[in-house]
Amino acid sequence: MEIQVGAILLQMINFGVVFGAVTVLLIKPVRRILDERSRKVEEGIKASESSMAKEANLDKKAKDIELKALEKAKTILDEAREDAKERQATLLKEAKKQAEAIKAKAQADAVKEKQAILSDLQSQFESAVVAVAGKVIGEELTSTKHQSLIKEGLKEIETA
Amino acid sequence: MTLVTVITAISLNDKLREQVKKVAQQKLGHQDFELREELDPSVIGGVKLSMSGLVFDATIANKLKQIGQG
Repeated sequence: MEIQVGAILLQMINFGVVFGAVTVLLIKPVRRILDERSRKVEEGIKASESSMAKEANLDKKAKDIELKALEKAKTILDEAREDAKERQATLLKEAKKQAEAIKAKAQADAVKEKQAILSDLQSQFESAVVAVAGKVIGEELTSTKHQSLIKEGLKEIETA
Repeated sequence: MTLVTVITAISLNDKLREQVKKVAQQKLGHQDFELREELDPSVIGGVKLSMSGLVFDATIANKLKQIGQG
């Protein structure tokens, strides 16, 4: 078998040309596309990580806000309860005061009414006594006695 | 002229009227007055004089009233 050096060389040149062409026309663009894709993927991952970090940060902030809101709500509720207690105590105190005043007034009115009734009764009794006594005395008085009483009365007035 | 009212249970005779005038004069300090006589059996007995816003009550009814109030 004869070795054809020329053909081998030609084949080698042919291979080199094909390899060069493939390298220039196919491998480099593919590599560039792959590199670009890889870069985009990395950027996507980074963006995703950043986004996740931001989301976590937002979650934390939201939880902080929620916690603060809850604390504030608790404080407001506590204050409202305290206010309600104070107001209740004040209202109770005022109600007791008013009740005592009403009771005192009622007692005073009752005493006054009792005194008025007693006074009225006493007055009626006195009037009755005077009427009866007057009738008895009047029936006993003669003209002479009347004159004598008028004289005594005039003396009394004179010395008054 | 001052009006002097005398209230009694019976009518005054002349002697008593004079005595009333004397007392009225003494109380008023002058003689310029008119005497008006009123009969009121409710006074029972005695005499009541009213003059210039003053009232002198020496009646039995008034005495009984005072006893009742005492």
